This record gives sequence, structure tokens and C-alpha cells, in this order.
Amino acid sequence: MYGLLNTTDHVLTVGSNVTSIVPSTGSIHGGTEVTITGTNFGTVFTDNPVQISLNGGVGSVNCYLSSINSTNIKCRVGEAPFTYNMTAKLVTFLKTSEEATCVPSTACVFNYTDSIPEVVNMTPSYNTTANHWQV
Amino acid sequence: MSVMATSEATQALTPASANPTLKTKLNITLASSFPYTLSKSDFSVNATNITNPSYFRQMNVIAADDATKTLTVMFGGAWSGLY
Repeated sequence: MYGLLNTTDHVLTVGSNVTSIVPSTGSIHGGTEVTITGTNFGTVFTDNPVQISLNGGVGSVNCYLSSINSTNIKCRVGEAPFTYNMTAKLVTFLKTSEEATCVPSTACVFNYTDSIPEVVNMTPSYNTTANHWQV
Repeated sequence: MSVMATSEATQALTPASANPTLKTKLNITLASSFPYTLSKSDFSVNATNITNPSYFRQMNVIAADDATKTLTVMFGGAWSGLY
């Protein structure tokens, strides 16, 4: 005798989402550590490679993973192959052929900026204990 | 082969979501009133895509706990979607 279990009330959702990237702006010179928040990420570095997608994937820049768990990925953005401001898409790959879905669609936007921090003022003072000037 | 006229319903599926490429253990809980003893060799489980029923993934039944009426199956990955 055979039977079927009625499973219509239970749906398995297969997929992975990215819900935010913080910060969403970083220098074209690279080095910005971004935290990617989402769902169903892997737990080992090779599970979810991350890239900044430029021009539809041509010339993409790696984001080098420093930590990963099921809901957060931290990675350090590589240097951009250009020297001007540009908005790109940060892509979290699901190991091979699929990408995590950006929810909302703007959640994966990453802005490369060519503005770099500038020192506009500094006030040195003399440290009498160490016998030198310090800033 | 004969098929039972009435079907029993599942009570829970946990977790309700899974990564497309990673193996995930899923627990399927049946009603406590399920009238038969659960034995893993009695069950065949697959995940069938809702929008494309011709795409389905067979899952191994790795445990059946009759005391809690729970089946544990291994989801081996599938394309993103609802199953």
C-alpha cells in the first residue's frame, strides 16, 4: 500500500538574499572592508565568492573575504581598474553559477569614489615628557 | 500498486529555506496522530519545483523518529526557487 503525504502547506524556499552592504561607498584605490548582510550564506570562504561587477561583469574586481557566516560576509574591496567615480554592483556568488538575489534591488549597489581623505588642518603640540612635537 | 484514498498532512518543515548549493538537513514533522510507525526505508522524499514540476531533486531520508513523528532528510542543493 502506498500513500502520499500532503505537503501543500509547507514550501521550501531555495535561494540566498543580500539585504544590505555597509559601507556602500569606498575608494577607487580599494581597501574598504564591507559587511554584506543577507540569508543562507555558506560558512566557509569558498562557498560565496564576492566580486564588484563592472560593465556587466567585464573587468570585475574581487572582494577578498575575511569572515563569513550564514547571515554576514565581510570582505575587502580590491582596487578599481579606473580612476573616476563609478557605481557598480556587488555580486555575491553562490559558489558557482548562481548569484544571491538583491532585496531590494538597490541593496547590492556599491559606489567607487575617487575622493580620498584630506588633511585640512592639524595642530601640533610639544610633548615635554617625550621631548618631541606630536600631532 | 494501490494508493491510499486519504493522505496525511505534514505539520512542519524546518528550516523553511536553504542555500541552493549547500547541503542542508531538513526536518519534516508529521501529525502526532500519524497512524503508522515511521521507518526511514518506508519513505521516498523529493523537492519538486512549484513553477516547473518536471524539475525535482530527490532527497535522502537519513532518519525517521517515530517518537516525534519526524523525518530528517538531506537536501543536496537545487536551483533557486520554491519547492
